[in-house]
Amino acid sequence: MDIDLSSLLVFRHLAQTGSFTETGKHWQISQPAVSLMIGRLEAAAGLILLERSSAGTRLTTPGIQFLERANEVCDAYLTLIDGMRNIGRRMDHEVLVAIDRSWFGSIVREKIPLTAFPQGVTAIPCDPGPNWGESLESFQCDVVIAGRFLRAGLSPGIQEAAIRKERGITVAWNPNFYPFEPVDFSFPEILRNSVLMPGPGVVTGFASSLAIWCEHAYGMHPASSVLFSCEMDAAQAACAGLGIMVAPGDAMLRLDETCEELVHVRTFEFLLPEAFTFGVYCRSDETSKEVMAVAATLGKLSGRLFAKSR
Amino acid sequence: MNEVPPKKQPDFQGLPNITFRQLEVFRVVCREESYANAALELRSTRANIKRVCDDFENAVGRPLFEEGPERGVRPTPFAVGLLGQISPLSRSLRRLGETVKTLHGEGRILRFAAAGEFFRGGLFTDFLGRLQISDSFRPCFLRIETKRSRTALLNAECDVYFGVGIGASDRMDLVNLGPIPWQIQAGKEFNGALPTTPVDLPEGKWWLSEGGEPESSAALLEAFHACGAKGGRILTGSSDESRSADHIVFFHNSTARHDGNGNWPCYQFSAVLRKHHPYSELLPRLKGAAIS
Repeated sequence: MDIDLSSLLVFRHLAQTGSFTETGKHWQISQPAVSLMIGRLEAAAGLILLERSSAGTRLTTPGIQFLERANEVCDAYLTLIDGMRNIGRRMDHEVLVAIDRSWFGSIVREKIPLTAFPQGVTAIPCDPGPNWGESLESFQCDVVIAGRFLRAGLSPGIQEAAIRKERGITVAWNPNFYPFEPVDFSFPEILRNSVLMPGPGVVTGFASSLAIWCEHAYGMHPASSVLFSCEMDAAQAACAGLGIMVAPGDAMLRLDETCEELVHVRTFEFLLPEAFTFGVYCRSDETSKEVMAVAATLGKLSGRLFAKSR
Repeated sequence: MNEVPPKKQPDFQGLPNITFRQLEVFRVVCREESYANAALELRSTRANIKRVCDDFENAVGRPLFEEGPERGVRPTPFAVGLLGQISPLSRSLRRLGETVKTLHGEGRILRFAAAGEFFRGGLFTDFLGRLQISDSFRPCFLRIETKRSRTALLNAECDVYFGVGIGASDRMDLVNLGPIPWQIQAGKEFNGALPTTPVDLPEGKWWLSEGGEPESSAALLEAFHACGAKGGRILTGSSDESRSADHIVFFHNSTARHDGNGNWPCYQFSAVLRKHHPYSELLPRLKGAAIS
């Protein structure tokens, strides 16, 4: 049985979605190419895996049993590819550094080309993807520089060098649109409005933790919540009166002068003393000296840049 | 054993295009440190093994082997690293292979379909009697009318469709199972002395029963004309009223055996399946049964 491993990935996706068109879109191939790959897979296995009809595609009984095993193969295949790329990077003395889109991250990203790494090692910046902890543990990247909220993103497989910790959260609004007063401010009040937050690409776990907190502590959710791909965008939306900005730690220090008109409050400082952590992360069992050296260099660099408040 | 060269496929989402065979060959070459020895073990040729390794190198984008002592090869450090990570994938592929083998062993379902008229017996059941399938398939039968046959085949609702007057097409394999006999009906004035060749047919007073797809009825009428017949029409449900009792009508009769009334062009009885059907042994078996 000679099968293309990529056709198993396509088959898995097709089984999940039931649509040739959708599968083609996901894998960026045409719908006839999907049909052809599935046809070849069926021929290689000597089994009819799918029944097509105008209502969609569904698995046959052998197809269901085949998918169960194919799932294992797909997972092992993706792990192998990550592992293979990792070996390639070690041989080329490359270290892939995933950096989030926080204010801190964007500064580090700018500094990387100007930073001297150990002899012969190249640090390549990349995006961390939706879950940097998983990417790191599955060897999709080697070092992560990111912010996290509470304990989000941590796992036994990851070690952290915390660069900066900030207490509580910042709530900011434009006084021309919202009547709140910093002195007698009550958090649940703002939940009746649109809440503007940095998304998971900026600080892991913030939006999700806040949603859980609102549910448990106040039994309600924000009227609507909008996630932004950087804190500055969220702040500018707050300036325009589109809602109340909520961000981890001391967010005002990270905004520029265009946001001066915002009125702001730091809250939960004592309840959440280590709410926001910005750090450098690598695998707990990392064996590559080059990866460790790059992590250490970037840790030192970030420490110099951010350890003290501006 | 000949290796079929892999077709070029899009390198979608940046994933290398790796095959089961490449992994298998890679492992053996690493162990044997020789293409020739690996070829012996895998019952292939050195050239084939070398080519599979070259394809695998292209897929992963790095050299995997370098020249070793005594015409042997040595895995590169990259290949050694890769080899160390391949076991989980090989294991899961082996389990997939075993599942496929079990499914084959249990007997795969083979769905035969035909229009209602064939279920009365005759050609259809005769052919099924000749077809040896019970060793590796579990047959079942569906009734699907001819006009839906192509859709049903392409949608994998059925595997083989038996029918009359089905034309060949790009996406289907067609096995001709022989001519379908005529049952000729005529008025009393012929007094049992029916015409015996197309040339003798009285012009404008004969009909052919419609069979299968409209194109095949038209093609059959053409065949009658080519043999010298003149006039003639296709008998459909709607044209039945214009037929007079003294006309000759050719009805195709799939329940009868063909008795060799060889002067008349006939509809063909055929088995149709989609091209590259997953059951690779199906087409040869259908052909085998057709010949015998």
